[in-house]
Amino acid sequence: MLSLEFESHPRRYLRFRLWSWTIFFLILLVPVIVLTIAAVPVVNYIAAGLWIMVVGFALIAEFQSFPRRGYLLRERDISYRKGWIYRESISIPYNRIQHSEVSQGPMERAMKLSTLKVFTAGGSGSDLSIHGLEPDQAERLKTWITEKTSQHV
Amino acid sequence: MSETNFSIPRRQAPIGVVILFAENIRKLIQIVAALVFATLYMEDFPISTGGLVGIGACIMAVFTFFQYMRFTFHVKGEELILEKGVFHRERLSIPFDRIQTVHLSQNIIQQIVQVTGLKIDTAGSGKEELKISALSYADAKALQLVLQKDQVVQEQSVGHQGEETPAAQDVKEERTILVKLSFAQLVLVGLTENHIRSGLIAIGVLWGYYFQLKDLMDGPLKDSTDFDPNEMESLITTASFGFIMVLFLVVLFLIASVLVSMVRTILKDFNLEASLGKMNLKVSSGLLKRNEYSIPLSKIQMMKWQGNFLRNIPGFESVIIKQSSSRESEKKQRVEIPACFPEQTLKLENELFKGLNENELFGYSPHSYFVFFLSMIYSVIALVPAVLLYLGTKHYGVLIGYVVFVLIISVWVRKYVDTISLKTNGEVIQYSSGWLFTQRTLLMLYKVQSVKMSQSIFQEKRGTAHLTLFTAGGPLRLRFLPEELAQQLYDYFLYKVETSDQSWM
Repeated sequence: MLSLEFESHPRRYLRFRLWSWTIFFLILLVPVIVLTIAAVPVVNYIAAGLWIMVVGFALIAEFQSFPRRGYLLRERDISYRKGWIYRESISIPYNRIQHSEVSQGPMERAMKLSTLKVFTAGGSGSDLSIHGLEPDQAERLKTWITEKTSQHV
Repeated sequence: MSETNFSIPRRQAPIGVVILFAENIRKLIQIVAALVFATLYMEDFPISTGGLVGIGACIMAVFTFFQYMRFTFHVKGEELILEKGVFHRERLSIPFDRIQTVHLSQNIIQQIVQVTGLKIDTAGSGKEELKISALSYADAKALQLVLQKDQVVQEQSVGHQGEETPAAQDVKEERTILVKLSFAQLVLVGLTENHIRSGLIAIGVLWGYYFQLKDLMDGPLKDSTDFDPNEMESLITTASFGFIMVLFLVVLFLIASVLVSMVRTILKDFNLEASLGKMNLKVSSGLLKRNEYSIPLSKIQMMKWQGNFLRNIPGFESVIIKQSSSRESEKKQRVEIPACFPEQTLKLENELFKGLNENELFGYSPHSYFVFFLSMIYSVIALVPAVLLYLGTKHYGVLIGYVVFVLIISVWVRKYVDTISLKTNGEVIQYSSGWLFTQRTLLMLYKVQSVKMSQSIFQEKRGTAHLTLFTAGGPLRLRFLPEELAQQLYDYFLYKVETSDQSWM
């Protein structure tokens, strides 16, 4: 189970993320459309322009950051890294894990992906959520972590 | 000490009915007010306002009586059991080891009626009300001792092997009195609070009013096109009058904020007493509402000392104790010792952060990018009012003022960043910063829950990163570390946590 280097997500997860962004940007399109219909002359162009810029930026950011995403299982801790413009890497020692769980949102279920959540006592900023995993891999990770957690307590 | 038996279910002190009644009234005060309003407004309401209130009070009294009769508590094994509820029966069982702090308090009614309230905080973030509203002080203390018995009994068995562990109630704890705030010290604490923050807000508010005042003054003068020396003079007097008014308001507001700080301090910290026992730290204070916090030492996650230039004169700092808590309860549960002198600080350090004053392994100073970053932020923020002011007055003095401001800010930020230091000896971390407003956080490494390293793409180019240590009492952010050091510390802190066998709780 131990990783030699950061393990990446299945390719499907990128598609999942792109779909999530799509939904988000469609919702964001509503005010732009409203402004266009209301025919406020300069503002609707600015709004449309901004929308396009934001979409473009999000796409670039997603393609840049996706390859960097990954988790790492070492002998005594689990780590996860992500991000491009703002990047971060978090490590949780097994002996500090409170519990872990595997879950699936509705969209994840449709794309056959699961989320692994690792909980600590350090507050929500300290907890780890690894989305977009192969379901059986998520289960294996959870079992591994549970075993390691009980050993190190 | 008399033996108090908590193993048989029992009710609260009888006079507690009064307390319960008052609490119920407080909860329903909005409904009551609405009803009163309704009756006053509607003319043909069959019952008079007085009658309605009377009926309501009677129903409330009966309900409260049943509430009192149905509320019992007792101790069974290693659990506290609370049974309550009039219509919806509830049975709450709280294992002793889930208990974080046992908090005794007395609001003004409880003080009059001579009872004490006992509240229990657990590690879970539940909104459950784990409280007993009316106990005699002796019972409350005895129950507190029983609930935190684990720690006390542990202490005994460490010292005397083979001896029978005595009953919890018989243990006479050795406590060191840390702080006992006299009224003079209380006033000093109130005066040296951080008023600057309120001052800045005051200035911000008045800034907005200045423009409104200006408009008022400009209005009648805009129409005149002739340059009349008399009008010019009156314009100057109006402007200077306006300026004096603003200055006067600022001063008034500052005085008001100092007074407010004083009142808040007196209410919160009246008769503050902090004592350190072998197993817990107790802090009690308050004027209208008397609070007594008992925090087991093992539950303390971090401690933060704060001082300011005003407090350097008498030479004390305030200490905030961060214990394991959920985000929501953290705000309400801020346990603070507002006046801690160097001797007491030393006692706390020696007890809780052993090894602090020995062998420091590394110290660090932040990356110079931090100076640039902070200066830039302040300069950009100041740009907004500066631009507005320039557009308003078209006076080149504003531009000069802005440049001077940027220079001062750079020096100030440089000085601030120079004071940031991180020291660790592998067991304890000490992170301190500030010169006018100093702060120092102490954290035992084995209390760390997880470690995070983060950086923006701009920081990466300059070789600097942030490190965040998460604890059950909140995060400790070490910002703008040189990247290599951040990585080293990341690995080192993880290693320390992973190889530690000390229980963090």
